[in-house]
Amino acid sequence: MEGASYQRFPKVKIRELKDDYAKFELRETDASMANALRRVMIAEVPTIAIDLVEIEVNSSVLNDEFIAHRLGLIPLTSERAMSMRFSRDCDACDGDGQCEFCSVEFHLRAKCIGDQTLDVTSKDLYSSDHTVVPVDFSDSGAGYENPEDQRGITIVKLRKGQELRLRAIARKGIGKDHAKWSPAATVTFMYEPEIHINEEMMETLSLEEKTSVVESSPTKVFALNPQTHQVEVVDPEAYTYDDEVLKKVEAMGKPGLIEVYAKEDSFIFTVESTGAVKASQLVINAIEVLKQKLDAVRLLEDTVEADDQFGELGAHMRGG
Amino acid sequence: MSFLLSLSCGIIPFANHDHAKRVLFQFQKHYQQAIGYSTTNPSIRVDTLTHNLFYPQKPLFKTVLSDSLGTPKHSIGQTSHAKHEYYNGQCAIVAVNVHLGYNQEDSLVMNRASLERGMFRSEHVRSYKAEVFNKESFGKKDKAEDNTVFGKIQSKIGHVDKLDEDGFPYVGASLQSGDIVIGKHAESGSDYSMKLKNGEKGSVQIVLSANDGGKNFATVSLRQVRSPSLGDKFSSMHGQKGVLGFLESQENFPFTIQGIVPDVVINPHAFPSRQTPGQLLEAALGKGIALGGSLKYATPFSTPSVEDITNQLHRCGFSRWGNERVYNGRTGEMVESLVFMGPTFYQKLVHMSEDKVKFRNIGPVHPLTRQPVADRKRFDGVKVGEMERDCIIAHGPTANLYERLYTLCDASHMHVCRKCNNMASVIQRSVPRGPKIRGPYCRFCESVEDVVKVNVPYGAKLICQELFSMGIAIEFESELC
Repeated sequence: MEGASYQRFPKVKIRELKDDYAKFELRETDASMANALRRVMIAEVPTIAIDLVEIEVNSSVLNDEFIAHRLGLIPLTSERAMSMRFSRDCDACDGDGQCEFCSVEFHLRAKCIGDQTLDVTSKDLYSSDHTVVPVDFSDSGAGYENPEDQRGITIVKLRKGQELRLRAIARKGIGKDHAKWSPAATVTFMYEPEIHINEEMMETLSLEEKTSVVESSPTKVFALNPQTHQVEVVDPEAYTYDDEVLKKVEAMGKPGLIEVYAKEDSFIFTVESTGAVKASQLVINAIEVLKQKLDAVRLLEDTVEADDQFGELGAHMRGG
Repeated sequence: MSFLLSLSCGIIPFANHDHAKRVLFQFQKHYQQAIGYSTTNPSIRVDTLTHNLFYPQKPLFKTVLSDSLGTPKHSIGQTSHAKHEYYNGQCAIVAVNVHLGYNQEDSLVMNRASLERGMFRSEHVRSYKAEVFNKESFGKKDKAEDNTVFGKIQSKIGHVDKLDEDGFPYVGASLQSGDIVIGKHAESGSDYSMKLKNGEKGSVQIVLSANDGGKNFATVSLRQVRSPSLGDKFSSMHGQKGVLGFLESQENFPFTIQGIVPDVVINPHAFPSRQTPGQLLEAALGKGIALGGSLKYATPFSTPSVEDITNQLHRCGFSRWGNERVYNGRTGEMVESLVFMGPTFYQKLVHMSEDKVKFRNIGPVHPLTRQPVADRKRFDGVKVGEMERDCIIAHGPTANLYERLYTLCDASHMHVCRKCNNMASVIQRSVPRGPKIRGPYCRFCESVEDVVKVNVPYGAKLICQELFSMGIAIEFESELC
């Protein structure tokens, strides 16, 4: 246990960064770290979401629970979430979770008067805190051509005479408790592939066979150089490890013509955010949360007395 | 050709690839049990029991018959777009894989995040109806006892806190089992209230009081919203039913390179013996359609060929046979084998575990046998019969068996005379020069000398007494301990 140091210095290289999208490389670490980061991004980075709804009037076609559920899923801008408190351990309010440290209040009042159907959307939600508002998708470059599409997220549609009036309280939470608190739309990574072509063997193939090898991959990984008629790897990262090429090569009776290895220590991450936090911030927050969790483990190790209560288990946890 | 099939059968994709038994299964049983969205006015209807799916979806594939569904809107001279029918299911991303053994024996694993985002959420409305005596109606004689009216009185049978003075709960009140739904009493004061039975609960959606055909009646409907829970039943379009075995978190599922995580994981053992390759074809075709492929029809008997489907997937940048490389969600390692994944139309069936759970510790018993009464609405338990008992014996926990079946259930005692080995009943007798005493007494030996108390199950005691009453005496050999 003692002596050997497993300390590594992972490197991050950012490839692409947008508000709700990030693509980066993570190198010189292993799958456990990469996956820990992914898991934390999905399930443990805190955001703010509507958690409690008091309905005053609801004469819409959807029932109260339906509307409450829809409200909960609306992403709210959550830059403040990391510094906010969980309402369950907030000292300022006695557990009812209605103070400035742990909650944000929303109001919604809508009534359809005209003959046209009225869409009640996330833009109709009035927040008591200007830093926590429903995410505005109009400026994220999604390219809406029709200004009508920028109306936010539809909650319910009202016809003439129908009314919806409610008060909602948004709280901090994590994706583990409910998916509505998950800031991640997609978080995924892939091992960086290393593709080797056995040139000698490739030369023995006819042009037709080469084309069939190139086309056997559903993604554009290989290409046939029009001048030299050589098979080249144009985009190794397009390879999805689907084995289609390997199967093709095997079927042709040329095993080993193309070999693919996954680099065990480099990963290409793709992160898409719901808009609650920026994709870049999501990664940073995830690292922060991960650090806090590791600190908790380290503190446990420091206090050997505390381990007494765990008995044998404590010794086991120390690696004894 | 496809119109030779019925409505429900004609919208099964690739029905010609499935075993006929499975197709029959699907459209006879599962299709009518599936929860859909059957009406456009659910919030003002008072059906005895209705189920509505929150977010019904249209399947990705089409069949010639499904195109004919829905009411066409007739505008002058031309028919514009048909109004689409609400389907009774949702498109789930289904992976065919084992998942920690939680999808054995036709159970399935679902993604909790998907459910929390509204997948297979449904509302269930149950109505309660009560009638009262109509004063204006003629022909009936006035009997004070029958003169029932709606109203709130302090009831002995249940809680009336949620009722208004008129005897009805307010709209939005959350009623639990044991509460009164409709307060009703006779003018004499006797209580005729309607109570929620065990397992019935919900919040009040409609309160209606009306007069129909000379009868005054009132209806209260209760609404309940349910997200899938363990034990709920689901089915694909190919007679592949299964119950929910585990709710797994999103991050623990295997994920593809694009970050796709399955909503449902089913066991590969469901396929070989059932002979339903139609479901796999549906998933493969569905995947191609979701990626923007041009093949859209899966009409039975004119389905696209397997080659067309695989080529479409290949064109869309996916593995021909619908397999995908996944990473283990727990460790982040690449999974050695490829996993078949694709969008499949799944239905939630009305059989839900919440309506079927049975459990009790104490509750009402039958007065004669002192055994629990058999009715789920009356806190029925699960019967441990002979075979169940044999299983427990086979596993060896005899002390537990003794405790469950005897000490906590059926414990009783009786008296036996050790001289004549007959049962000694407890009687009241007079002793010379003393007060009357009550206790066990052997009528045969006319003494209390050798009477002992033995512990027996109540059932055993009962049958001895019943036999005794018919003139058959049973002898008991006893040993002191």
